[in-house]
Amino acid sequence: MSGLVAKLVASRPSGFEVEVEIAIPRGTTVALLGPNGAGKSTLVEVLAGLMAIDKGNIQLGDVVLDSPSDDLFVQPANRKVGVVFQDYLLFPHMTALGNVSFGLAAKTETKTSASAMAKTWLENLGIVDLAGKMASELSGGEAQRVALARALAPNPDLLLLDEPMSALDATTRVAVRRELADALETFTGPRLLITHDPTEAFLLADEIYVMEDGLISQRGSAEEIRLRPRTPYAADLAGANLFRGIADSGLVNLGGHYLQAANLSVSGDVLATVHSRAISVHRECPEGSPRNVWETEVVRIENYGDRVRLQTGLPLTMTAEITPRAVEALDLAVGTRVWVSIKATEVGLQEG
Amino acid sequence: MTESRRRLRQRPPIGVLLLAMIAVVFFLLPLIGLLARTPWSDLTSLLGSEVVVDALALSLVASIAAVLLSAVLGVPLAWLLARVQFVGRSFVRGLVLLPLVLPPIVGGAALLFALGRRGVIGEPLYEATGLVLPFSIWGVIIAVTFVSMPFLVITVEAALRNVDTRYEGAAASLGASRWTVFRRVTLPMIGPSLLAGFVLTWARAIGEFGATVAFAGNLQGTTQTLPLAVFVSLESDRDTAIAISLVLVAVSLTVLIGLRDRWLTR
Amino acid sequence: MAKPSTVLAAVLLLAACGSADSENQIRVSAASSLTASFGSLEEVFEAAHPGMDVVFNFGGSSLLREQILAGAPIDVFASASTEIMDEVQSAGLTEGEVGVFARNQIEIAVPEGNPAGIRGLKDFERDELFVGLCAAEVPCGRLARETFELAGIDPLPDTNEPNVRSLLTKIEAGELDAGVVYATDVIEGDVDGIPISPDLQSNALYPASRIVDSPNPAGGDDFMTFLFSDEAKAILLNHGFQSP
Repeated sequence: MSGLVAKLVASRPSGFEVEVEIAIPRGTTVALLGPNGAGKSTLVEVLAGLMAIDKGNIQLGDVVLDSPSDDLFVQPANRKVGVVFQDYLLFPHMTALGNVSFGLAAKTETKTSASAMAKTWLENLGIVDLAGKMASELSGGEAQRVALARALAPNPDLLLLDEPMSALDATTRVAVRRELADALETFTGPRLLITHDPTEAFLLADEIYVMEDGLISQRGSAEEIRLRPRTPYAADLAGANLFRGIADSGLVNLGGHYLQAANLSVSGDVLATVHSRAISVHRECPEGSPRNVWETEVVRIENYGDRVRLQTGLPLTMTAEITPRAVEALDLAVGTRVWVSIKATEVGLQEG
Repeated sequence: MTESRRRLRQRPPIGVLLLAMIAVVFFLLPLIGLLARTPWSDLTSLLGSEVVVDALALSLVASIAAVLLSAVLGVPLAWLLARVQFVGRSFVRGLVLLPLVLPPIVGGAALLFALGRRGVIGEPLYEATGLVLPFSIWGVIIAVTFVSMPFLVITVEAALRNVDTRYEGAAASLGASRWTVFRRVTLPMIGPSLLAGFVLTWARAIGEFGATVAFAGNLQGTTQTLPLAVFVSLESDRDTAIAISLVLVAVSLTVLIGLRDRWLTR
Repeated sequence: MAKPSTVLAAVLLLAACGSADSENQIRVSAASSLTASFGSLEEVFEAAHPGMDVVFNFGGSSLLREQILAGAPIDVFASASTEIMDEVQSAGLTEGEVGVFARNQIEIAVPEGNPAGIRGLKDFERDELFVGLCAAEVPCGRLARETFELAGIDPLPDTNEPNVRSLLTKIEAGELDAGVVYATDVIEGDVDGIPISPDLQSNALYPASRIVDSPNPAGGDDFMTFLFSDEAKAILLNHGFQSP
C-alpha cells in the first residue's frame, strides 16, 4: 500500500482555488504549514470527501477516492479517513465514550461491541475516566484526546489532523504535543498534520509542505525549509531574511544594493537568504574580513526576552537577531545609526 | 458587594416587570371569567356525560394523530426547505405558511372542495376506492393537521438552519450514512426545537374549530371534538358549554406545563 | 393641541351618541334566517322613509338574546324562536307588544338535480347516504327532529351542523345527499327542495318586538309598523315565509 497520493485542483464557491500535489508514504507524517487563508482547510475537506475536486486525482492505497475525469467520487462515509477537526467537533449530546464509539457503531459493530472497543481506545490514550463525561463538559486538552480516539477507533487508512492544538493554551500544548507524537507513531498509515505553527511542524513532521495562497510554495524536510526558505513566509518561519536578486559570480544585485556571496556556482535569478543571527551590528564601521558592510538605521526593536530582533532600514531592510546585552552595550534605540556586517559565506543562494 | 448592589443586579427593570404583568393578566382574565361562571356543584355529572367523554377522546386522538402526521410529512419538508436550493422554494414556504393566515373556516371549506366526495381530488378518489373523508375521523385529522403542521415545519426549518453542519461532516467522515447522520446527530441536536414544534402543533390541533366543522362536520362520537361540543352547547346549555371548556383548558394546561418543564428547560 | 381631557370627553361623547345620525339610525337584531328577506325589507323601508338608515345585526337567536340581556342598544329584535323571545320578555326588556310576523316551515333540501334520488323523510334512515341536520340545540335542528318524531322515523345524520348556512353549503356542494333546512333556505340556496307533508310540518314562528331604553324608539316603532304591513308580508312570502 503506497499511502496517499493526490494531485488536485479544487475551488471554493468564493472562487478561491487550491492546486496541490502531495504524496504521503505510509508511516510518515507530512505537515502542511501555512498562514490562515492558505487553503489548508480546503485540502482537509477534499481529502475527507466533504468537498469534490475539480481536476485531478486522489488515491489512498489502491483505492481512488476522487477522480472527476473518471466520474468517480467516493462518499465521505465510505472513505477510511480519520479526521481530528480544528474545533474537535465532538458531538455535544453524547458522552466521550459515545463519541469514540460513533464511527464503529455507524458501520459494522453492534452497539455493545462498539462501546467495548471504544473503551479500549480510551484506555490506550489514558483517558478512560472520561468515558461517561458529556462531550460539552470536557476541557480543551481532554477534548483533543477524545477527538483523536474518535478518529482512530474505526481504524482509518489516512489520518488528518487539522490544527489539532490551536485551541489549546501554551502549557497544555507542550504536554499534548508529546502525546500526539506518540500516538502518531503508533498509526501505521499516512498522516497529514495541518498547522500554522512552525515549531509543531518542525517537531512532528517527517516532511513539510509550505502552503500559501492555495499553492505549495515549498516542500522539504524541516532542515531544508529552515536553511533554504523559498518564500518570505517560509523565511519568516525560519527566522531568515529572504531577498530576490540577480547573481553574477557571487555578486548579487538586489535592485541597487549589492551583496557578496561565497557561492559562485549560482547565477541569474536567485533567492538570497541571510539568517538573522548571521548579521553583526556595530556602532562604528567594523574592521575585518566581512565583505558586506554598510551603514543603516535601527527602524524597530522587538524584545523576546532572551533575544532581541532589530529591523534595519535603507539601503536593505533586514531583521537581525542579537542578545539583550548587546543592545545595552551598543546603546541601541529606534533611530540609532549603526553599521551591519555579513560574511559572504553567510549569504545563502538558491536558484530563484 | 453591598446588599443594595446585589439586589440591583438581580431585579429586572420596573417598566419591564409592569408590562409583563399586564400581559399575564391579559391571558388570565378569560380563564377567570370561565371559572367564575363554572357550575361547580353540577360539574362532576356534567363531566361524566357521554358528550364530554366522546369529545375528549376524539380531540385527543385527532390532535395526537395530527402531531404524528405533521412529523412524518413536515420534518422532511422542513429539511428540504432548510438544506436544498430549489426553484420555487419561496413559493413553497409561502404555501406552508398559508394555513396560518387563512381563516380556519376558509381552510376547511377549501379542503371540502378539494377532498370532499364531489371534490377535485375527492371525487376520483371516491369513484376508485369508495373512500369518503368528510364526516369521518379522517376528516377531522386532515382538518386539524392542515392548520397545525405549519408550526412544525417552521420550527424545524429554523432549527435545521441553525445547526452547525460541520458536525454532520464530522459524522460522515466517521462512516455514518446520511440517514445515520440525521438520526444520531442532526435530530438530537435540534431536539429542543423539535419538541417545541410538537407542542405548538399539538396545541393548535386540539383547539381547532373552523376547519373541522367546515370539512368534517359535527357528529358526536365521530367528528365532534371538544371545541365543536362547546360551540354547539353554547346554543342551549351554557353549563355544559362551560364544563367542556374547562376540560379543554385543563387538558391543554397539563400538557403544556408538563412538557415545558421537562424538555424545554435543560 | 387640545387638552387630553377635552379630547377624551369628545371621544366618549361621540361614542355615546354614535355618529351624528343616530336619530336616523334604526338598529335591528334579527335571526340569521331573516338575512335575505330583511335585506329586501330594508330597501323598501328606506325608500319610503328617506333619511332613515336601518342597521342590521344578524346572528343566531340565542346569541342575540345574550347581547340584549347584556344591554346592547337595540331598537327592534326579530327572533327565529318564540322561546327565546319569551326569555327576553320575562327579563322585562321588551317594550310594547310582541307579535309574530312570519312563519317558516322546514323542507328537505337536496343538491341540484337530486343526484341521490331522495324521495322523502324516510331516506334519512338509509345508512349508505350522507345526510345532514342542524344541531339539536338550534331551532332548525329542533324542528326537524320534531317532524321526524311525528313521522316515526329515526334519522341517521352524518353531521349535525351548528347553523343552517353551513348545512346548506354542504348540500349545495353535493357533499351531502340531503338535509332538512328552512323553506326560505331552499329558495335562497342553489338547492332543490322536497316539501314535507303539512301534517308532519313543524313551524318556526318569528316574533318581533321593540326593546326598552333603545336609542331610537320612534324609528323602532316605524319599523315595527312596517314589518306587520301587507307590503312587508308580500315580500316575506316571496322569500318563502308563510303568513303566521
